[in-house]
Amino acid sequence: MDTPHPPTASPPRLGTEADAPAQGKAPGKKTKKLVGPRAFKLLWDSHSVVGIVVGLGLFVIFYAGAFSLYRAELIAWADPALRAAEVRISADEAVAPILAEAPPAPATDVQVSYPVHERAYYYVRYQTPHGDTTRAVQAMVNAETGQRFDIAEGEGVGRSQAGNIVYRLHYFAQAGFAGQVISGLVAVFLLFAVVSGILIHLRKLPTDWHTFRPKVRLRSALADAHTVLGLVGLPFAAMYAITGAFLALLIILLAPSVIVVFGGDQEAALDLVYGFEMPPHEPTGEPAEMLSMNEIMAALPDSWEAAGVEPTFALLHGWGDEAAIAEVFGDTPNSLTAGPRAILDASTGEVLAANNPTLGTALGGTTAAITNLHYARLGGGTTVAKVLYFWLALATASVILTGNILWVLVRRPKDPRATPRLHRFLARLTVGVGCGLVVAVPIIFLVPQVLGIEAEGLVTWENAVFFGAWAVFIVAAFAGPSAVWAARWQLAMAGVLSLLVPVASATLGGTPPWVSAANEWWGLVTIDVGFVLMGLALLWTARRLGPASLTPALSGDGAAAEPPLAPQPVPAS
Amino acid sequence: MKHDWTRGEAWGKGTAAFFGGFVAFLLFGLALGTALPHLGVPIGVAVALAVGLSVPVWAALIIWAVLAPNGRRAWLRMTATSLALGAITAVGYVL
Repeated sequence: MDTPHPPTASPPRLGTEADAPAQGKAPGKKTKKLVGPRAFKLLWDSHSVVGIVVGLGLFVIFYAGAFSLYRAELIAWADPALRAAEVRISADEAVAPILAEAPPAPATDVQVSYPVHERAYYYVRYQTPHGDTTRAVQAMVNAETGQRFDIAEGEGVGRSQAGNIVYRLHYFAQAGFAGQVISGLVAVFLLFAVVSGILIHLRKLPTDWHTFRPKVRLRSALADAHTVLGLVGLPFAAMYAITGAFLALLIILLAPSVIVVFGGDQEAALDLVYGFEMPPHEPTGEPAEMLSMNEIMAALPDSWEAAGVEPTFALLHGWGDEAAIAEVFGDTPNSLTAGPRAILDASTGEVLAANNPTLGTALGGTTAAITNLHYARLGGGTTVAKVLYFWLALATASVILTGNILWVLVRRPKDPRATPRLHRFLARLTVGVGCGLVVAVPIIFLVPQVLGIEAEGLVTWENAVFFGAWAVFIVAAFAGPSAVWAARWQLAMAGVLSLLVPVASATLGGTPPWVSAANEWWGLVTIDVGFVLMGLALLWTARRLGPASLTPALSGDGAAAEPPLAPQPVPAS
Repeated sequence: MKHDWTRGEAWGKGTAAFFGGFVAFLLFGLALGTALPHLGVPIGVAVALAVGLSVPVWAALIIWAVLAPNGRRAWLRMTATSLALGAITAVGYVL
């Protein structure tokens, strides 16, 4: 559709100048527009409202998600027992003593996780009868030292759970299944925001994506940052919207299909995922001699070795029973869609079933691709992908926060004292939730360093301090003279605390980065360097929010001390 | 706001996009899973398409609802879509 478009030497910016539909008709030059004026207005408004409604949830998802990419490294960073530069302990040495304690054919399957990628330990878990019910027995074994740690039921690996708490927050798991569903719904609306954002910005894309003026007034700088970071991270945000919604809503999406398409047969659906039918493995009650884990791995199909598949996880069904089987999963290098899986007789090592280790089924490949994309398991290795994902996640979080702030700024009345109460509330809530989380994250990683990894009730302290501090910062954002003031000191505090995290690790209960480097614990070095970089970036941002750019209308109050800002010309880009 | 929203339009479109879109989102997966195998598409491929496309389809339906002339028409669009997908599912299931 051809519609008039004003010729401008300096393209109008989001939230700074009049926006397209209001620009009126300009003679001469016509620009191709994807949507008409009415659709533009509707999409613009709904893009803004969706951003306001789900924005803070999205910010939490992306900010916590950035740290979740380094969950394994963060857990090992906090707990020295989980560090290993190389695997020196075989699966038999690590797992056999634990399996020997398992009763024959325990109530559920035995899980054995191998030390692959960032994981530096073996992990074993099984259920054992406990009165009328069952009790989980779980332990981890350091892959380098062989040191074993038993884990209490309901707790995760590692004596510090700081990394896991942030990871679980990433999909609101603290609120149970409902929280997970909410995170999925938020992701769906993120996809809507991305698509509507493309439609309303498409016309100005060529100029918008490289226009960034950090030295002009705060509002223009925020608008630039929102647009530029949003455009740079567009494919990333779209990918995360789709994969995140898929992972969070998978049960809701697949449950009706299992009932209607597969007649309620869950196994049939799983067979489609893995590419073969599960062999029968009902326990007979007859005990049998089991192969060791090393023997089971040695009996894997030749195609696994040919494809370079690394075993990652094994499920031992009916361990100790003559019908026991070992279900082994693997990781194929340089494949986004493969999901290697083999079933072996746990007594004889006979391969009962196996799929193609280099090419997944349609359904299995789709789910594997979605999962691998979401968890940054791509690019021939995870390091580069994870660094890229981390910074893109932070950029997306910034886009969301700046979007909320712009929403308030754009609607700022000439007299800041006339700012509607709802706008003031939104500005302060955005600062409290957003900046408060940015402060709470370094705080939770300081807890195990300050209290010590052996501290009694460490996990309880981590939960209490993290959520308590976050709540305090939300309340504090409402208590100060203005939202900008609160944002400034909270970001400054976050910067200082982030810089303190590696210092505390080096001087209190952790390990200095140079020692980590000498031991080739590169994951730990990444965490320390990452906190330093984040600390410096946060301090710079806090400084940028200084008095020179103070915007009293962001809160509306404090206006008595600050005169209303006069309109300023936007320099040509 | 750039558009002159009435309360009825805002709530009508919002609820249609969320609830109506959710029903269509579920039925889209079922429709592909039940109907495509009758057209010669392997069931694994059909379910994979359903899994991969359901979320983008919901997002597209939200946009369609937002662009409707009013809230009632937004609900009409979602209802019609759901009925069509439900009919495809029923036919695929019965066959």
